[in-house]
Amino acid sequence: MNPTIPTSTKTPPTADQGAVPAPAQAEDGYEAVTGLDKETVALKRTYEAEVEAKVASDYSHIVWAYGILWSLFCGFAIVLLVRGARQQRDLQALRRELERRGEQAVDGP
Amino acid sequence: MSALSRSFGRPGVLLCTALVTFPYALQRVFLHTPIESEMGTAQKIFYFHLPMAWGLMLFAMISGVAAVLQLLRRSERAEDVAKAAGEVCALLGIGALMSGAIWGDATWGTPWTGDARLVTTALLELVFIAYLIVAKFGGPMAARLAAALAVFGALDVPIIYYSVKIWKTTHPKAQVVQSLPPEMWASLWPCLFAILACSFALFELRLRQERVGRRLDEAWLALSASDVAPPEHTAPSGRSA
Amino acid sequence: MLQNASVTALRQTWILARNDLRQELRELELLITSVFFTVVILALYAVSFAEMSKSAQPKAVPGMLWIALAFVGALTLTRVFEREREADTFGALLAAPVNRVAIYGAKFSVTLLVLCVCSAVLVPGLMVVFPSSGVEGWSALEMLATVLLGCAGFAAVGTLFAAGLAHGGGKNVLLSVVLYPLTTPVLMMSLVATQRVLQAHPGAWDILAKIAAVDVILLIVGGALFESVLVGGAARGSGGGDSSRGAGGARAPRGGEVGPNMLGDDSR
Repeated sequence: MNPTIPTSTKTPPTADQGAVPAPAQAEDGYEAVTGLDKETVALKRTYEAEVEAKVASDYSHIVWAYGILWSLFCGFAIVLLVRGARQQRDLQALRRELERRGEQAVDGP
Repeated sequence: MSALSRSFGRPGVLLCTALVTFPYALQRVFLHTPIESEMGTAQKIFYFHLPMAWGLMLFAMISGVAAVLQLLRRSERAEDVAKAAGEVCALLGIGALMSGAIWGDATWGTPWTGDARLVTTALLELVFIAYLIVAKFGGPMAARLAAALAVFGALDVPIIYYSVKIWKTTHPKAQVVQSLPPEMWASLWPCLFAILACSFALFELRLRQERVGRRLDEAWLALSASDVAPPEHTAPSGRSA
Repeated sequence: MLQNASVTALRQTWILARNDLRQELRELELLITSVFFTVVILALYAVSFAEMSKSAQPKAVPGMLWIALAFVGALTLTRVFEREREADTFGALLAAPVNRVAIYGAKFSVTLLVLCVCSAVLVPGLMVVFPSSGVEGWSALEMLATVLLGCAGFAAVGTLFAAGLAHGGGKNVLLSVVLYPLTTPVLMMSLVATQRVLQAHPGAWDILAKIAAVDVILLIVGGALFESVLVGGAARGSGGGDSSRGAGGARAPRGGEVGPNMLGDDSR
């Protein structure tokens, strides 16, 4: 995937693999793939897997963190809404009570 | 109805601003900010973690100052401000601590260290949770006791920080924040703005509720004082305490 | 003028503290309960951590000391003010022509004294139970200063809140809720100081000076807030501020604001 994976630490691929198929190349036009010996590929795969695991773990951490943050805000907003609704009911009760008293005052004397 | 319509003033505007800023901040953070070289993608938690921590300090200070005013001037308005700020402070504190723990788990490999900033934040959070508990269950002296608690809480911030500095520090230092690359700063600002706008909106909503509750209590009291109170009046006034 | 006032306050503090101590010496209730509680905690430590390795002791013993003192402190503070409440004398004390700071100072001194007596049991006890917690030849004087300063910081915060909770409805459960988060910084510093003292670390006095500075801050703030927290609504006429629109005001009756029954007779 990533073309800049360092392979320089490996022994040169031509030394073991590239040298053997080289004579065959001339006969049937087959061209050996150079630079991708098994060890390098294995190393690349491990490296990629590591990066992938790290990225996946990072993403899950991010999702959790952002999810918790915004659900906290939402939770608080819901608490506020519930309180507001309760105050509304209280206000309505107060209104009714005042009206009742007003009627009584009109009827009374 | 009037209470409801009144609540769509400044808080509504602030909430809408936060709602608009948040997607913008998100796309900046994920699409236009380079991935931090050491911590990787997990560092993106930072953009909302830091605003939360700053908000925590800010609201702790607001609550502390308001509590001083409440105690010295016996001001009801200051009491409402202190209470509302205390609640938002506790909320932001939980947010900062939890996001911090998750970030720590991703980058340090452990959600909690005995680091100075972590312990400071946790203690501050405990103080404000205690504040809310005392304000709710403290009995007749609740308001003033809670205010004293908030004063001590705000005062404790530097003392706590100083006293836990003796422990090892793995948390990024303040200099790290200052030396952020400009692209990261550019992404931090919208996040800070979104979080603070949202916090202030919730704070104002809470403040309004506190005031409306106070008026309602006064009205019920005036009503029951005007003649012998029928038993049903005690229910609502006790409820909205 | 200012000097006169502070001298008067100091004299009143002394008189009030002496009164409390005289009463205490008659029954020894506070001291006996607190010291016994200390011994119980010590026994629990001895049982729980009997197997503790020698290398772990220097780290653990300072923590044990301050956790125990925090528990004993909460117990003592509750008891100091409960006595006032039982006799219904606290309201009278607040209504009396006494400087409120003197009341704070007196209660603070009594609490500090009881805590020091408890430490006098606790520190030697811990040394006996965990013999390898300190190096040879740690200074007893430094330890005394550490305990004194640490307890002073704890009591400075505790007196204010215990008084507030006792004077109001008295939900003493809340004392621990309030006390421990607020006193943690002082306890933490004392913990580090104790570790240094036990290790004969040269920087012990350095940190003790810092604890003393924090103590002074806490005492000043505690004394300054004492009046406004306790007297704010109960005796609104006294003290500064615009008492016309008092906080008690319209809301007072529903909260069950402190009534005249709190200003009962002085039964002493």
